[in-house]
Amino acid sequence: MNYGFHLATAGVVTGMRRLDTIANNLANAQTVGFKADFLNLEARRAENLENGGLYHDANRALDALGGGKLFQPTGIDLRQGALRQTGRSLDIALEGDGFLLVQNPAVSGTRDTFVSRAGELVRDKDSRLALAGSGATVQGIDGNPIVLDSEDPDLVIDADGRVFQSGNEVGRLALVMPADMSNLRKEGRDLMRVLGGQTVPAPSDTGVKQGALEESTVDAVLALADLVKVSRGIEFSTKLMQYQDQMMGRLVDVFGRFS
Amino acid sequence: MSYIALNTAATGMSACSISLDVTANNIANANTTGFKASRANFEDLFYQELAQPGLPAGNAVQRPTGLYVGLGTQVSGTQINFEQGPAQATGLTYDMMIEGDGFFQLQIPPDVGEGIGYTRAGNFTLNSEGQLVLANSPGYALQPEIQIPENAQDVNISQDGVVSGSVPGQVDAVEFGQITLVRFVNPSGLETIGNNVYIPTLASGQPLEGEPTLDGLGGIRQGFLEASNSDPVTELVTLIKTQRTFEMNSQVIQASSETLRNITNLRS
Repeated sequence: MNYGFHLATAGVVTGMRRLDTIANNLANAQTVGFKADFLNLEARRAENLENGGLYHDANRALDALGGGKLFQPTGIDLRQGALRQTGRSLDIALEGDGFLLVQNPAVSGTRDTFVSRAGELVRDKDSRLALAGSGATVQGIDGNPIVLDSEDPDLVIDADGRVFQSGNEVGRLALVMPADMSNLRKEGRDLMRVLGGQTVPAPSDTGVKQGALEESTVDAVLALADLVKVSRGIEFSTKLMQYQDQMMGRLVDVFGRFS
Repeated sequence: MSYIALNTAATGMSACSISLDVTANNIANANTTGFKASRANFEDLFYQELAQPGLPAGNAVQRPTGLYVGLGTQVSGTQINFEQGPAQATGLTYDMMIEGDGFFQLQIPPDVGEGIGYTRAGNFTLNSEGQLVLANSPGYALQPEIQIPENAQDVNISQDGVVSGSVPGQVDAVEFGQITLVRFVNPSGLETIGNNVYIPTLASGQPLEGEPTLDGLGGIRQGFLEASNSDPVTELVTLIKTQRTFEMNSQVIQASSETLRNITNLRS
């Protein structure tokens, strides 16, 4: 009974969740190395069909209606962000599909491994290469943090991620990507976790550009267009809920009267 | 719910206003000797997990990945850019510029840090006792102390920091002192205390002292000042971008507010 009311409610609930995602994307429009999230929706089939039922059911009319909306899992838009020149020797931007492999001290004491595209680096107090935001150390290809010579201010990182100081190679950045891109999970603080921990070396065309930063991939125009679309969608759905409610009110008024 | 979107947009607006403050300070100090521009680094906040991966998705299928919503942004820190500022010829005897990563050491009040401050500003002068002091408002004395005799003439500061000059009655040049510089492993970790002075923190590491021109400290150039490294073009671009991001976030607040109003008015 009053099936449409629930369908319209599903529209409001999913719409509000999309609004949350758009809000997070726009809030991170200036976050270096940020990849926008997208929340896709899919039409939900009628419950009878979802449970493996046949089309020709007693409630055929309901089956034809469908079951409203469902969320699809949150996806990450992994497009390349625009590069911004900064000229700072400790700023790097990645070009291509790779990620930096970084380690963060976990609460329990062991170190946690993450991947990141945020190339704002610093030398930490132990002269290791680290992310400026979270302080996670950048891992080298040998699995250890890259330790720089603290006496030597010179630092050159070439396109293959090799780190040189005064012409001597002191390490090479580990450039990796998840074995399965759908296992990428955002953790905040510019870090992403690879569920299951399986990473493979990044494709060979992944380049490192020193003196540049990768800007957020949030497209302000699309995000604002989505914002308008989603908020209007919610408005329509709430209107539909009101019509359903009015109809129910009339029904109760007309048929629910005992006299 | 839209409450999340409201708060998320608010985090975006507050981070933008911090970024705006940093930019304002950079622009205000575009003419400050030895000033180093900062930038606000943004990072994403944590994510709220609405559905875990592997949870049944309703039609006897398990979700391959989860459903999560991010909670906004924050400024993870302000990073000081220690790139060399442009040289500015002044011709004054006690103006010095460091060409490299070094810092001058200054005697600051003992209750601030460990009593020693560090600066890139080289606009030194003499105080009433003939001591070399920084010409900033408190007039901190250069460390190690250098005393210039009253009758000294033609004071010369060499690239490696030797301060010498001629004194009447002596044929050879007299050495008045040796300027030493320090550098830090992570200068971005220094704390700014104003008056062009920095003090070390746990993050910056301990100062490594040495003579100018050695160990990457850089040489000293007499008669030059290091101008502010704040670049007006970059700062104005940042200003525009920050302001627009601020506006976009306020649009989200408006949209979530409208949504909440629609829902509140459902029963009318």
